[in-house]
Amino acid sequence: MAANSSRPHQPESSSFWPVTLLVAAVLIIACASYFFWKPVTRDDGQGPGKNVENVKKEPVGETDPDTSDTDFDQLADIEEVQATLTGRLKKLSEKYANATGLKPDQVGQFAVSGFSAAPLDATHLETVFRSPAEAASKITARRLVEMDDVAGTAATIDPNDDASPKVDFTAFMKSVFDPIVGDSGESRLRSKFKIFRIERDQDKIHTGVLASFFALNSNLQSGEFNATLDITWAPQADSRYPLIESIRITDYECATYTGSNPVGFEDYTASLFDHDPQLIEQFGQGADQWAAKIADHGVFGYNGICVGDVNSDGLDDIYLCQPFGLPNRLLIQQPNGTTKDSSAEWNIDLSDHTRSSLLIDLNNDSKQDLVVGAANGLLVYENNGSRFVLKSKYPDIQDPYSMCSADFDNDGDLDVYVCGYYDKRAEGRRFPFAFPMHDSNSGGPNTLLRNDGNFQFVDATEQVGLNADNQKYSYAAGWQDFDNDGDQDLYVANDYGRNCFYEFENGKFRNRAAELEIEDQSFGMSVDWADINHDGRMDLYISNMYSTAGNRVSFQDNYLSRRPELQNRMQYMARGNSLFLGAENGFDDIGGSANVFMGRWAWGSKFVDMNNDGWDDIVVPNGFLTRKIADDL
Amino acid sequence: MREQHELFDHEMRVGRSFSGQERNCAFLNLGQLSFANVSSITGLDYLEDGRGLALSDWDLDGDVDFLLTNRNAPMFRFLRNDIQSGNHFVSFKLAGTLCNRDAIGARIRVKIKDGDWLTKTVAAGSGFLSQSSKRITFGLGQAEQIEKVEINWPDGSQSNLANLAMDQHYSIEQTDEAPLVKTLVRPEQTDLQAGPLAFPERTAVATYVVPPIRMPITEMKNHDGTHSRIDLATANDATQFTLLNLWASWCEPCKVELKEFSENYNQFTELGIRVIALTTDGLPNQDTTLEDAKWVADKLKFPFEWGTADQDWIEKMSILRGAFYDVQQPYPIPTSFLIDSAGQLRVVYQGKVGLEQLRQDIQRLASPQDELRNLITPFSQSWTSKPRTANDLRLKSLFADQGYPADAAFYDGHAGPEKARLEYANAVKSIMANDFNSANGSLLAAIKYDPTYAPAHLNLADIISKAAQQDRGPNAVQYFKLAEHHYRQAVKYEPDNFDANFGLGFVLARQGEVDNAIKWFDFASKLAPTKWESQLAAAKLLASQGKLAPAIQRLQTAVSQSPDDETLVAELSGLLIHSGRYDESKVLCEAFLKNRSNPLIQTRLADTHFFAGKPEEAVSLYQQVQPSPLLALKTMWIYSTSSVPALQKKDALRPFVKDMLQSNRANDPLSRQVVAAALAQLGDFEMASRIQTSALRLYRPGTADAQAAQKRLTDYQNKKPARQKGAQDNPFAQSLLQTPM
Repeated sequence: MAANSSRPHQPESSSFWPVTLLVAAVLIIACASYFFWKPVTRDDGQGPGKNVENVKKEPVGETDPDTSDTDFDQLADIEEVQATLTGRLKKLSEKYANATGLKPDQVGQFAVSGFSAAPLDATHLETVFRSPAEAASKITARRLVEMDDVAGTAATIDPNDDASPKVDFTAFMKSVFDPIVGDSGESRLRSKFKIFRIERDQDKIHTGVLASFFALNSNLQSGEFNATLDITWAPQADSRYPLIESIRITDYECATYTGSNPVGFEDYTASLFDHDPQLIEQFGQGADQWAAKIADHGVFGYNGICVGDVNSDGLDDIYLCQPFGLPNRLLIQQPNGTTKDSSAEWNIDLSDHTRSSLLIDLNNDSKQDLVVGAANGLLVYENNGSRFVLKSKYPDIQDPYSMCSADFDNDGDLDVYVCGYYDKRAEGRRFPFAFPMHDSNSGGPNTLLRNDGNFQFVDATEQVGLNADNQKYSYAAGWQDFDNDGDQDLYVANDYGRNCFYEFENGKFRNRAAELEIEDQSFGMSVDWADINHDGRMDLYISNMYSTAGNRVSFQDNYLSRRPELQNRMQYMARGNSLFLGAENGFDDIGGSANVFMGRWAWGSKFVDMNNDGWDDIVVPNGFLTRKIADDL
Repeated sequence: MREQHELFDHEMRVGRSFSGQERNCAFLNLGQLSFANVSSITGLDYLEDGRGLALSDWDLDGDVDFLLTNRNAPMFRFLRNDIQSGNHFVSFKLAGTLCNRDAIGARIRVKIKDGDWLTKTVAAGSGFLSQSSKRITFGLGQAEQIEKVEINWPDGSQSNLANLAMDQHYSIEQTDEAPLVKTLVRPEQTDLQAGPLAFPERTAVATYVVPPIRMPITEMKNHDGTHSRIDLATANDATQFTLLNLWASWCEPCKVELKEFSENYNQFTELGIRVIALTTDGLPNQDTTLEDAKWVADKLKFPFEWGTADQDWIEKMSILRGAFYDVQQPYPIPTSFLIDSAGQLRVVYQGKVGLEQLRQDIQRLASPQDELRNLITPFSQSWTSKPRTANDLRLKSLFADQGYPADAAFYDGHAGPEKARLEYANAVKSIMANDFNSANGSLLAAIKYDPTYAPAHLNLADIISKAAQQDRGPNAVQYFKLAEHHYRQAVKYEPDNFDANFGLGFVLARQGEVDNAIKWFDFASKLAPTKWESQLAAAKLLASQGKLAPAIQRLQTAVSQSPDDETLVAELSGLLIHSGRYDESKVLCEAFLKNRSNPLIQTRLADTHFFAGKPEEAVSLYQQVQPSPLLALKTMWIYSTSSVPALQKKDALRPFVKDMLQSNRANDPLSRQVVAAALAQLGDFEMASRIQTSALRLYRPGTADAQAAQKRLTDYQNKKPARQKGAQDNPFAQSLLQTPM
């Protein structure tokens, strides 16, 4: 057992955790910002009206926002109720590990005895996707038709309408997952419920719940559904657990897959690494394991990757960046598809703290050179055919995040744009302290490095006007010719606030994000472009944070009610990823109607046509910190 | 605000999740601006904290595979696309020739027969911290064929390709005319098999503390209940290392370990290790008592010191760990701490440790300072950053905050290097504000705190050297000496610093130590081949000693690195002329002037002709350049010394002489020589002799210039005008060694 390592001055009262949970809930909206929960003694005599008025003029100024009307006890209270209900739903999901689900005598633990609800009527599912006949792997997608479109059927799923058919709890659940299980025989189920909305009236609790079920069926078939449910709970006098009184399906979509494997993508990493024990040891562990062994390793795990053909054999190779103390790895593809670790041989087994890199030809000699963003500066390497040689170093660019390259000045060589997150002056901080969190301007500068030949770069940021709005917490950026005028424009995703979109015109960049309504004031993490609707105009997808906790809290009536605009912003910040469709005069915000908000705490989202049907799909890697102590959010 | 940060920091250390257990998402584009959630059936919904995603059709089977990085284990996944979609594809890799070679920014548009235009862009860097393959794959659905393909290159040109087949990988190279199209045949791929990374077995028990951390004040409780302090700094002792072993009587592995320690203790002593065993028996939260520990100690006959661990000390060790590791883990029992003779923690062993491991580690710890950090992982690695140093100031504030003032004071006493850095930071601010007095004070303080801190020495030396250059009085000598001392210190502690090497060369040169100065300039040049200042400085010194060939060699190196620098080219050209290497000088200048006009180099080209004995060419070139006194002198010298009537421009010489004499501007030997020659050319030999005599007085007797001037004086006295033939006795030769302004 452990020799006592608890800290001597840590509070240990039992009231500590609920408060922290509440704080953590906001952390999800606010990341590290705890301000909003700080009791504020504000009475400047201006009255509430004045404050609301002020919002527009000073988009949330330098002082704490007005939270005096927010009843924290009540919020804490409702979060506690939420935690209880989440616990019940988790239990329920454990019971549904297979299609049998609840045993008859267990139903009473979850639903009221008179539970009845309108079941999912499969005849109202419309097929929205089906693989072509030629496909060996079949994908189908079905969706609940808009009720208004089916004349006379609205009543069939309205639990409040006595005329609609009702079933008991078990039958209701079966109706919901039947479309993904079918008559496949044995199925394993995995489910998850998340409460994204909670309201309480006098004797009932109403929750909005996202339900996701995944079924792995015995006939090499899998299926999933994602549904939105209105669940009403009735508190019980004789139990601390409320019971489900009714469920109404407001949204339902399911998809199935049949192929030679149960799912579309398989993990081939072990053979890709050619079972190299060093690589297994390094990548088989994560930031938490390494940070316990390597001082200053960090736990946030911003491990970047780049793909390029380093040895000019026509096959892609991989360069992986690693946090402090672990060597970066160059994996060169072999003719048989596996890789050989060539990091040391190519002179780039760097153990400095690095996050991202680019493999690009900087001197147009047909060999891929390398730019590495290291904490101690940007490093530029020449590929001489058999190894990389360090040619120049830019120590002023410290701690870079994402980088992207284009020949912005069209002089025939590639320039590099580097995102900066922290302000170097804020050294010693372990986590960013951005304020105000929805519009911060205290981050580090981004840099445009102009390629002046011979692996020498010049900081051209100011010269070309990219120094405007350049003090944000930038995670990522992407070049694209959005207006098809032949030059490269630049979108920059910023954490804690407004993104930037710099249009290139007459040798200068100008931030037009506000004008084009693509500031996407949220927690921007990534940028990708594609033409998703074949209209020849490029569309934009930005990772943010979809947060059920953020949704719950920010939609509470009394939360920031005196500052409706601020409340709207908080709600916007919790809504998730954004999809902006390139239109004739700007962009259309279609993430909601296209159903692509819900990317959770999203990072490197990408457009990619997974099934080669010509339509670019979207993939979202996500999750912030999964660790040994759960966050219960 | 700070409390919130500390709370968050604490949560991070103990391992709390934030938005964890989130499954990756995938959305299938249904067309019509609508997407379906297919996160699970695609198999992409891993629970890890995903970060970067790069795309590549790795196996060239026509669909795009995923390369995913994660925060937590496994940190990497190669997810092969096994969807047999039944759809067609085509892929392109572009090579630019009129634009950047990677064709980043190029637009590829594919028109499907009877279908849509599909558009994609070649990009480098997208998503988050990621760059995808530059081979661009288009899914073509159930297309019958590709109607056409249009490539808009970033330089604005367009290529149109017809007759491309589906299900091919194309490589397309831009040319002036039709692009070159090749197809890539995918290699056999048989060795990829499904299977994720297996989690490695935990093997390492030793954690190497790099940089070493000074141990806090360490006390143990003696058997009689008194406390005594353990002196860990044993520098003057035979003991090289202390192994502090934390154990308990209830812990079976501890007893096995301690038995080994006891039985082999002489071997520990031979290795220079003393063991001190600290038991947790009898501490407040333990069930066992000191009696239990005594029983074990007696039974095993501990040949080493032992006592009870101090509760405060265990907490301090925890603080120590928290200061450097971002994840906090409690120390298990047993844990051993290997501490060096300077009282610094070097290795922490969690679980049992044996003699063999200790022997190996002591050897490893003897590695050079720079290589120590390679110990932290079992992998081979390299670095571009300097090794980190321990931060005693940080420990000081941490221990002060946590209520351990004695330890805080202890760390403060050792915090010289960090204090030096703080003083240095102040100095930099002062220098930026041109407050050199304050900077001087701060730098001296920094050096006092850490005499090995090179940047402080360097900046101090720079300030002193600057003062020396401005001081015309007798102090200058002392200043240069002092600057030299600090440059030498800077070079000693940071041998790779260009500025320190260069600075040392400079102050040595100013003190007349030319050979030494050249040596340091050459060191500097090796350190930074792209910086030419040191090459130029060395070349100038060499030239001043008449060593033209090595001077030229250095300048040639510098020019090859920076061919566009006019100063370098002018210097080199001057030396080449001086060495009679006119052709090389001509080639150099003409190459430089190929695409631009530059008065300095044009002058040098003219000089080349002048010294090569081609005065006509020289004059015509001089006249193209902005006039300057030196140019005028050269031109007049040519007029005055030419035997060709067309070049003896007497109309120009007369006003020149008149002007020079009246304005009394002929006060340097060169001007006087030119005026004398002009007078001789105009036939006034008497006046010419007088002026030439006055010129002669200004030359050092015996020099080549003086001898030539004397010869000309004799000519004038014999009524013979001066005649210049190329470089011989050319009075302008010395001016070549300075860059003309």
